[in-house]
Amino acid sequence: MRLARLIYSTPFRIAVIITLMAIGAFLASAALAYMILRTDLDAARTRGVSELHYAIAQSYIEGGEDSLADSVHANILAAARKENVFRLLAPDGRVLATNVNGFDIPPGFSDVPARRLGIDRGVSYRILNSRVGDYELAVGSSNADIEIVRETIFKSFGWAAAGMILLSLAGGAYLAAKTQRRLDQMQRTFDEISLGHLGARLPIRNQKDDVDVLWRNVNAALDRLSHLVEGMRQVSNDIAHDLKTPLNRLRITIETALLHNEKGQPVTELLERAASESDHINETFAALLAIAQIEAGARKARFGMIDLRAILFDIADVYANVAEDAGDVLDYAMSDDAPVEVQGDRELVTQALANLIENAIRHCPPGSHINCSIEMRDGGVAVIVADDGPGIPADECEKVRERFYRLEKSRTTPGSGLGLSLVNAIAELHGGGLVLEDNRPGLSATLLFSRGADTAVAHTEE
Amino acid sequence: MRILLVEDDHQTADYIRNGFSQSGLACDVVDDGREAMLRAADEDFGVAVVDRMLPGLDGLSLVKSLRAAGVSTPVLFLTSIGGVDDRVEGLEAGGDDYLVKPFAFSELLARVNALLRRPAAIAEKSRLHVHDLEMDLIRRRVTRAGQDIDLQPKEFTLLETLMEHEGRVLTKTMLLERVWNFHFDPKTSVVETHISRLRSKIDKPFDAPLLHTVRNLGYSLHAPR
Repeated sequence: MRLARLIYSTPFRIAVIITLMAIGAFLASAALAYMILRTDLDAARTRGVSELHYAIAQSYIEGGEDSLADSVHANILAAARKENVFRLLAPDGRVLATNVNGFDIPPGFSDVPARRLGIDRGVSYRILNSRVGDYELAVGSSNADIEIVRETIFKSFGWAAAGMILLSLAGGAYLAAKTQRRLDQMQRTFDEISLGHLGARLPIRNQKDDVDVLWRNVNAALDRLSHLVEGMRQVSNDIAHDLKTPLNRLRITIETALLHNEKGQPVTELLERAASESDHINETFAALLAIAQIEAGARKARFGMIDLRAILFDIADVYANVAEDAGDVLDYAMSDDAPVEVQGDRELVTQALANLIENAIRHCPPGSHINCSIEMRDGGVAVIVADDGPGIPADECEKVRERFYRLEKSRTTPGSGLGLSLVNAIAELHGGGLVLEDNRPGLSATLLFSRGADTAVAHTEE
Repeated sequence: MRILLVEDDHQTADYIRNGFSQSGLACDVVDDGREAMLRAADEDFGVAVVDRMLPGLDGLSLVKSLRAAGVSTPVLFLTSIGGVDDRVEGLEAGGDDYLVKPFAFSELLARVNALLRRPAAIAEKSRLHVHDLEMDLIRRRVTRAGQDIDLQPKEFTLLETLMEHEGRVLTKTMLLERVWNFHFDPKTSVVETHISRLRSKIDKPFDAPLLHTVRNLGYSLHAPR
């Protein structure tokens, strides 16, 4: 793994950013702690100086000048390391006691750097210079304690920060390496797909992390992609293979018309036949396209709640009349009046049902009985169109859903053999399928619709 | 009333324009989407027939822009594609009707005529009448020569559609779409069956036939001429 890729990788950058943020927060809190401490210590120092000054002044009040001088001397002795400084001036300005090099100390409170007092240290003194009687007493206290605190805080901060940086770099590098491996896996899969091996999928590791979730989604998208491509391939095949014949027929008809025309014979009928052939080709092509588009999931975005009972009711109503004119009887049965709702497309479902009913009407001889019904099934709804006509031989039940498959006996009736493929495609789009069975006698065509746990609402229970 | 035809295929454009002129309809042809936009917005056309595939500005965008600009000219889309989503897309873009190529010119003519005289006024009407046939839209009742006629719901809708377009030809496809909301070609005689039932209720018992079959075209409801 190259270093450059590592450094630019997201986990590494995230680790660095988080570390920088943590260090920043740490720095801020360290600075805050320092400032609070300093303020407190400063205040304590000021108080301390005031109290010490007062205490020394008391000795003057109690014992006069000698007592004052003694007190100052004693304090100077006690402050061996010059943590406190003192200066006592007589009324005439003579220095009576001090442990610093004298200079102008301003009256009241002041902060004086140690070097100005002749002390070779990097601290400063808070000094209170005030009159005790006619004497001038200056008492000062150093801020060495604060300096120690400051050094300690920043030294520990420095070490902690260094430790954090190392840890984050190491951790970031490790995570980056791990992620990079998974990304490489992804890259390999996509390379394969670009080469045309549409079966390649990302390996799921069942770790329930968000990468797995993402990859599941990517795999699902790849499934759809290969499904779509397969569908497109099939359409091209179908068009090439099965439209050739009608196109040839059309050509022959037109050539014949040209021939007849040369001979002065009437061509109107031939031209009409040519037009009708051409229409047939267009219909077939449109149906193929519709099937492919439905299989690819077009219209799914427009799905809404539809009531299958109402749709069947409407269609059966329309076709009852048509069936009657053909000498058949069409009726429908529902368990009750409650709506049977699923997610779907009303137009497509209408077309599918109409197709099944029309098949029954066209393939059954007069006097047949066609029955439509709705049944609730496990996890779905079944809409059934059953007739007692000639039916389909059991071994052809599966094949008849394929495109262009025509039953031998129906080759002479109009139609392109795409009807049931379209119905099947519509059913699959709705999460179900088309099942053809022997109705003993006759054909039973069942359209299955899926009922997602929360999508369909059925108020009836079987 | 003039028709604006937006079509870039010259053969198709000539075919359509000649057909219109033979039926007494004036037709202006434009072969580019942007030019069509300008003309449709500027001038007042009775209907615009728009091909979806156009150079410059595609038909769908053209109509969306026109609608956004407040142009309410009825629009009929022509398309070679005819996919399952296309019709709905066209209607959502602001189109009023949709026809897939290749089509019989008579189908286009019937639909254009239906759009030219849009029964906008009828939206406010509560009754329709043709000759002595009366339809009460509110009470959903039909009478002829004073006699009550009992119709099934779809028969009522079928008759209502025919009466709204009195004198004009409605093709089978148009009736399938408007009365039954079927957007496919049935292989059985849905329209014929219901027309003949309607006829037996509103025409047979009376003297003058109102419901006419126009051969190879469709149906029309009008008083005898």
